[in-house]
Amino acid sequence: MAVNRSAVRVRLAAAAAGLAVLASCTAQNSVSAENYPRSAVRLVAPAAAGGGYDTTARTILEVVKDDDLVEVPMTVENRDGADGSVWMAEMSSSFEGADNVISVGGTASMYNDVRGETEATFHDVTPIAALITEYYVLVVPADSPYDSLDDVLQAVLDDPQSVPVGGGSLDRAVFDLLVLAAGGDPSQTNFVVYPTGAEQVVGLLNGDLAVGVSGTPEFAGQIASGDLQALAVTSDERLSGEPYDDVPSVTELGYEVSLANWRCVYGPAGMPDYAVRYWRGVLEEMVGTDAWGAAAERNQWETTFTTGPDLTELIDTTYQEIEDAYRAAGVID
Amino acid sequence: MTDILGDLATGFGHALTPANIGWVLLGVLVGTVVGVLPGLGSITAIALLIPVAFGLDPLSGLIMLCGVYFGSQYGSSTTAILVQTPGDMGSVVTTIDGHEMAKGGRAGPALATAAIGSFLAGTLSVVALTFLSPWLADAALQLGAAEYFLLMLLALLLVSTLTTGSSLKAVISALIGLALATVGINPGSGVPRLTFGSLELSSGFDFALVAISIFAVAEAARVLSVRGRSAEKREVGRIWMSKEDWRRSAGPWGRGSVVGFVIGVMPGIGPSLASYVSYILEKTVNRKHRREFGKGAIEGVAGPEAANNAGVGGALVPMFTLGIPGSSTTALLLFVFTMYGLQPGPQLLETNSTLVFGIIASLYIGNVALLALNLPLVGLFAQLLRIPTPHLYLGVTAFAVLGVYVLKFSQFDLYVMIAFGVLGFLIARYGFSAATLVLGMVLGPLLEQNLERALNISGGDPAVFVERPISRVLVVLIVVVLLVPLLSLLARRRRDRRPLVDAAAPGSERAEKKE
Repeated sequence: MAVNRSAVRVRLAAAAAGLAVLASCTAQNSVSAENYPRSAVRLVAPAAAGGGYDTTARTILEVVKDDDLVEVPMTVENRDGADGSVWMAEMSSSFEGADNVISVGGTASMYNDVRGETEATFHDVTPIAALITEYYVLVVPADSPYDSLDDVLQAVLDDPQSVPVGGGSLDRAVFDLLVLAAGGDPSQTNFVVYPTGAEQVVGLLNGDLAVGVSGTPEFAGQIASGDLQALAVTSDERLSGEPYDDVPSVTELGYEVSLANWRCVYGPAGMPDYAVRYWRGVLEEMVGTDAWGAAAERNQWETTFTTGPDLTELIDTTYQEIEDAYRAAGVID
Repeated sequence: MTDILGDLATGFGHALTPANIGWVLLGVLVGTVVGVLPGLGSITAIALLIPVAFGLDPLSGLIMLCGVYFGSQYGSSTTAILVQTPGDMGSVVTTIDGHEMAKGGRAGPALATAAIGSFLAGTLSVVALTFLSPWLADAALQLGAAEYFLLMLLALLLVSTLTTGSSLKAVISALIGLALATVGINPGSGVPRLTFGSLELSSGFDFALVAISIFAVAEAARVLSVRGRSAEKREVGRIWMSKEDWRRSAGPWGRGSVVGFVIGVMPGIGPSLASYVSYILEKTVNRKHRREFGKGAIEGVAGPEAANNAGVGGALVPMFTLGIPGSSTTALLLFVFTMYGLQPGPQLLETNSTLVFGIIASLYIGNVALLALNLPLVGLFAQLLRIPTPHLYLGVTAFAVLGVYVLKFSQFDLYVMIAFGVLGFLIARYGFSAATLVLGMVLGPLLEQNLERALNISGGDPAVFVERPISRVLVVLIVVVLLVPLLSLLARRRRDRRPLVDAAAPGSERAEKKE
C-alpha cells in the first residue's frame, strides 16, 4: 500500500503541476511576435487514437520533430467527441486568444455543422492551413456484376433498393452527389451505415453489400489483394500511388463531384497573428520535406496545401457541397 | 502445414534475439500493469507507447505492442477479483464470482485460476491463430448482418442466466443497459437520441467509462457507507489452488478457450462478449455446482478469464488474414502497421510473412513470460486485501478517476462517472445486476445496427432472417431458449398438481435446511 499511496500522491502532484502550467500558459499571451514560440505547444487530434485525425496529428509531429522545424516541445493530445465538433467548441470558447494550442480538423465535423447540431463551426475558429486530401473510392466485391461506375449508377437509377451501398455515415453525401449527377433521386438510395471500415469490408466480402464507399486508405489492402475492385475515385485526376494509379477519376468518367475529405490545422478563436503566421510557415515547410512525402504516400493522402483566401474558399465550397447533398437526400430542408 | 512450421521456425528465429525478448518482456509488463489499474486499458497503453515503437524496427515495435495487448488481459482480472472493479472490459463478468471468492478468503485460487486459464487459453489461441487462420477467416465471412443480429439476440435472451438473484431484476438491468446504449447519434439515420442537445452526449457513453464507474465508484461508496466496520480486514486464506480447484477449473479453461477464440475471430465483436458467453456456458454445463454461481464458483472465474485471453488471439485472425481489426485495440495496431509503411491486408501474410510469423512467435514467448510474471504475483496481490478497506478503495477510486479522465480529458466525463457511480450503488443495494447492465450496453449497438442493416439490405423483408442455413439454425436455437423455461414450468406445475397440498410445506422446509 505504501507504494500504492505514494504513487497516487505522485500522480496527483503531477496533475496539479499540469494545471499550474496550463494556467500560466494561458496567462502568457503577451508573448510577442519575435520570440514566439517560447513554451510547449499542444497539438490536438480531436478523435480517439488510431483514427484519421490522429494519424494526421501524429504524422505532423513526427515530421516536424525529425526535421527540427519547431524548437519547443510538442505533444499530441486526443480529444475525442462527435467527429471533432466537441473540441472545436472548446477552441472557439475556452481557448480564445491562446497561442499555444493548435488542432487538426477537417471535413468530418462539417457534416454536423451543416445539420445545425454544433456550437462552433470553422467560422468560429482560426483555420491555418489545409494539408491533405483523402479522396473517396467506390468499390465492389471481386465477383460483382458491376464493372464500372456507370453500371452501378444505372442499377441505382433502375431500382435503388436492389443496390445496397455501405459506408460510414459521413460517406453517404458523396454517393448521393454521384446519384444526383447521374440524374437520380438520392433520397431513394439504399445506403447502409457501417461505423467502422472493418465491418464494411466484412459486409462487402460476405455478400451483404453490393457497393462500398470510403476514404481511399480504408480499402487499399483488399484492393491490392484482389478481394475488392475499385471503380472510381472522387478526385479530378487519377491518384498517383498504388493501388489507385489505374483507377479512373469521377471527373474523367463525366461526373462533376469533387467532395473529398480534407484535413487542416486550425487555431483557437482569435489566435494572435504572429502565431498564425508562424504555424503557416512551419506547415508549408513541413509539406515540402521528404519525410512528409513518404508519410503521405503510405497513408494514401494527396498533399493539397491551401492557406489564406483559398482556404476560406475551400471551407465555403465544402459546406455548400454537403448542404446540396443533404438537401437532395432530404436530411435537411 | 510444413510451410507454416517452417515460417514459424523462422519467426522464432527473429523473435528470440535478446533485444526482441526484451521488448516482449517490456510489453507484457506494461500490459499487466495497465490491466491491473482500473481505467487504464490496452488502448490507452498502446497509444502511449506508439512513439516508443516508432524508434524501433517494425518487428520489435509490434512485438512490444502485441505484448501489451495480451498482458492487459492477464492483469484485468486482478482488480475484478480483489475489489470488484474490472481492469478491462473483458473482466466485467469475472467480478461476479471472482469477488465473491475473494470475500470468502479464496482470492489466491481465484487469481491463480485466472492466470493459468489466461496462459492456457492465450497459448491455445495462438496455436489456432498459427494453423487455422485462413480457414477461420473464411468461416467468419459466412456471417452476414442477419446472422449477427440473431447471435446477439440469442446472447441477450440468455442474460437472466448471469445472475443468482431475481431473473426479473436481471432482465430489468439488461434493459437499462440497452436504453443507455441508445444515447447518442444513431449511426444509421444520423438522428441524435436522448442527447438533450449536448454535444458531449452525441457520441454516447463510453463502455470503459461506464464499466469503471458502475463498479469501482459504486463499490467504494458501498464499502465506505458501512458504518463502524470500516477497519474490517478480510481473510486472505490459502494462496494456492487445491486439487479440487484444479479439477473444477480444467473444463472451464478448455471451453472458455474455444468459445473465446471463436467469438474473437468474428470482426466487430471482440473479447468482451466472449467472457460473458463463457460464463453463461459454464453455468449451463456445470449442473453439479450451479447453485454456487454468483457465490464464488471457481468455474465462473476460470471460464471467462480463459475466454477473454483466447479472444485476443482470435481478434488477431481477421487482422492478419483479412487486414481488418476484430476489436478496437487491433484497429490501433493496424494503424501502427501503416505508420511503419506496411500495408495491412490479405497480402500482408505473403509480402511480410517473416514479420507476421515473428509477431506470432513472440506471442508464444509472451504467454510464457506472462505466466512466469503473474503466478508469483498472485500471493502478493492477495495480500492487498490486508489493507484497511478505506485506504484500498481510496486508491481504487483515485485510479478510476484518472483512468476516466485520460480517456478524453473531459471534465464532463467525470460528472458522468459520478452519475454512473450512484446508479451502480443503487443497483447493488437493491439486488440488480451491474454486469448484466454492462452486457446490455455491449449488445445494444450490435443488435440495433445489425437489425437495421439486415432490414435495409433486404428492403424491409424479414425473410432475410431465415434465408440462409446458419440463420435458420440460430432461429431454432432462439425458439428453444424461449420455450424451454416455459415448458419446464408447465411440466413442474403438472407434476406438482396432485400432491400439491401436503408436499409443499415439508419440501420448502428441507430446502431451507440445506441453505
